Amino acid sequence: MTVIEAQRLGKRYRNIWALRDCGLSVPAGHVVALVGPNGAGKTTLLRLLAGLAAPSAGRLRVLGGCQPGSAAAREGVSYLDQQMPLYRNLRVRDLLRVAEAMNPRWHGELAEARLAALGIPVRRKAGRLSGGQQAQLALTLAIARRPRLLLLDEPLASLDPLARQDAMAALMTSVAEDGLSVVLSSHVVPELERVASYLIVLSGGRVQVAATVESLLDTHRALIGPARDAARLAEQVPVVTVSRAGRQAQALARTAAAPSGWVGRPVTMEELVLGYLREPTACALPGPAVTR
Amino acid sequence: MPTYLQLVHQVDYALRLGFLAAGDRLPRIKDVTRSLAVNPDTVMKAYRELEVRGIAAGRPGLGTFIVAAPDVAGLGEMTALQRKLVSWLAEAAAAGVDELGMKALFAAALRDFHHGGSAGGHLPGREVGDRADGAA
Amino acid sequence: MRLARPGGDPMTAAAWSPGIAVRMARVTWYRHRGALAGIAGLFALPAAVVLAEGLAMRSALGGLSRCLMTDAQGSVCAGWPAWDGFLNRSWYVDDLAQAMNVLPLLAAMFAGVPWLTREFETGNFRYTWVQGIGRREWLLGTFGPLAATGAVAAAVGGLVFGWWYQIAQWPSSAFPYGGWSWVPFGLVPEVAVGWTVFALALALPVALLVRRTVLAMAACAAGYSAVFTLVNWRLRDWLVSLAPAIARGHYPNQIAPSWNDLFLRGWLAGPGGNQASSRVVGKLNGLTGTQADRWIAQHHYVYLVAYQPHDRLQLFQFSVAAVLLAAAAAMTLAACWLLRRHPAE
Repeated sequence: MTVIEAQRLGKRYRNIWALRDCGLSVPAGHVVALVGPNGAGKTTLLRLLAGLAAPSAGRLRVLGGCQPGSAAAREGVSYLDQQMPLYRNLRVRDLLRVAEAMNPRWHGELAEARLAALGIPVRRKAGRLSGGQQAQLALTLAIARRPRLLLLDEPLASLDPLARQDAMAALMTSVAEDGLSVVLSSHVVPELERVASYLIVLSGGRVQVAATVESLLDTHRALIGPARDAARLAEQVPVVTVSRAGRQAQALARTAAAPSGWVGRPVTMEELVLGYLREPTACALPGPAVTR
Repeated sequence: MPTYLQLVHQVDYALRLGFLAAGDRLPRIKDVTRSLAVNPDTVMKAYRELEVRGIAAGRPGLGTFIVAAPDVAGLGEMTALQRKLVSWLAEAAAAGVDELGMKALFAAALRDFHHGGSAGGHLPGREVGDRADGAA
Repeated sequence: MRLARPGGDPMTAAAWSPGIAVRMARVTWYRHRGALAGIAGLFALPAAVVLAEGLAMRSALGGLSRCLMTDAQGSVCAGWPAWDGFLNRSWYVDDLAQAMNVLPLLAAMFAGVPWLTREFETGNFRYTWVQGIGRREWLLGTFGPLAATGAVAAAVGGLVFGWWYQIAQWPSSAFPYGGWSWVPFGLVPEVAVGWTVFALALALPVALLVRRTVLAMAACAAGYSAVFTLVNWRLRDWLVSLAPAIARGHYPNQIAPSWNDLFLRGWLAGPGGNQASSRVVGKLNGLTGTQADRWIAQHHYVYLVAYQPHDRLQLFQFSVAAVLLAAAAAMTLAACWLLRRHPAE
């Protein structure tokens, strides 16, 4: 199942295009890292996927053909906004009851068990919890709906490292056990290599990269070679970025083998992401799907 | 180093140090995912790499089991090799090569060796620190 | 080689029973208890005050009538203090009743608007609108209990206010037009319910358009005032002018046959049935009362009055209430339409 499908997707606010001409085809079961500079359109894309906003152009479908915001989509998609909306004047216990009333598919025992394990008091008002506890609560409310697609807009930023690790562990377990798909918008690039299996890089409202991490790492190399050859490199292989330091040049290229005169090594996720972010005009859009 | 390789090396070291032996079952992917907060695909890739290297084998429904310890040369061979290495290092030092230079020389030689260098016997075309091809 | 089977779930849409309305009522109870209590209290507190006042006036009147029955000589009646007691309470009844007409607006401003504008100001709609419940079900499911509470509170309040106003009306000459005046008209249960439900419904599109609490409250007040003026000084006047009853009156008294009928207009009708000219009226103005009567009888003129009989009052009350409820429905539909077009970015 294609959990996210976009064709020429665009979103305009007044005269500004927050997203333009985006194409995506993400298979189910992946943890998708959504990376990009501030204002690149990550939040816009997530809100479109959640059904909070409607596209200005193009077509967007989730969960194999459901329109975002429709009843079927809302049932299978959970969204956690950057600003972490919660009914802060309600007690945690009442929050759970309200969530149960508003959702046909609600696993209350899962929510209660998770909150108990995290030590979040159910009799306290949600607004009185610490920032980290609120984030955990919001995440619990999203997960207890047992969605098939979970959209997270940097909600783990307010968690301390240990809590973040725990939250990630819970998410990864859910991915393993239930085949949950996750879209995670994150600035923390180093952690992406551990958790992400699909990468989307947004830059200036356009999709720069959209592919599985495996295929990206297979098809890119970090090259080292003499600076005098740097200019010719672009003719030999598709180059993402190239930089010179003295007599040596380093490059990130989309190639399976280093051209002659250059030494190649596998590239890390961090290098890949930073390379593309530095060069907004480069792109790596999906080729033939990697079948498993 | 890619995460999956880190996992492979952890298993490797555990075997060399005797914490794991042939016949032991590796932890379930789900448990590794939960304890390390890594993508289950990464764990799967690591286990596949172990299978490719012949260290582990999966039994459907039962799990992944260690089948053999990694190829380890005998203790005597290791000592002889280390003595040769020390004498090479002494030669390099006498020629004025510093530590970094020695490392670079070694890396270059290893690279050439991988690419079917003159010393004969090579591993199929890979680059420095290349990963195993992961296609299933 | 996939690791896990996708999470299937046997629960289907049938799991939505016992019904979205009940579910949303629960949600409203948890989230907006304050608003519900506020609406109820807004009518209950004045009703309690007015109940006490009414009882006091009734006992004052009782004392007065006992006194008048036992003391027929007309000497200083021991009941005069009771009469004072009655008067002290009754002279401000009309002012107080005018103020009561603002209760539906207060309910809308302080309960009907904030629950919706706060949803946008806090950003909570980004949580609410991605749950299983749909936007429209959420809006209507929250409005329903609020409107129902408002309707019940207004009905009970209206009963109490109406009873109190009637007691104060006992010396009927002090309160012309009986229940036709706009002041008590708006307090009658069905009309009070109409105003309250309409005000709460008006709050919906206003809050969706304005989205800031204080501004929306002001806009709601403006809108309600406009409609209030329109209804009480245009719609009602038009309604009561329809199909009036006609009877003979006594020239030139501008009163209807019964004290609690609504007088509309009086005119002199000539032998042919048409209205008397201004020349005739001018001639009559110079005559005294009995002379005028003789002249009218001699010339076969007839003085007619058009009026609405008092037994039709309730019909008009229900008509206005129906119009208000229809307006409330229109406001609700407008809100649903606005909801669909809400940018929600």
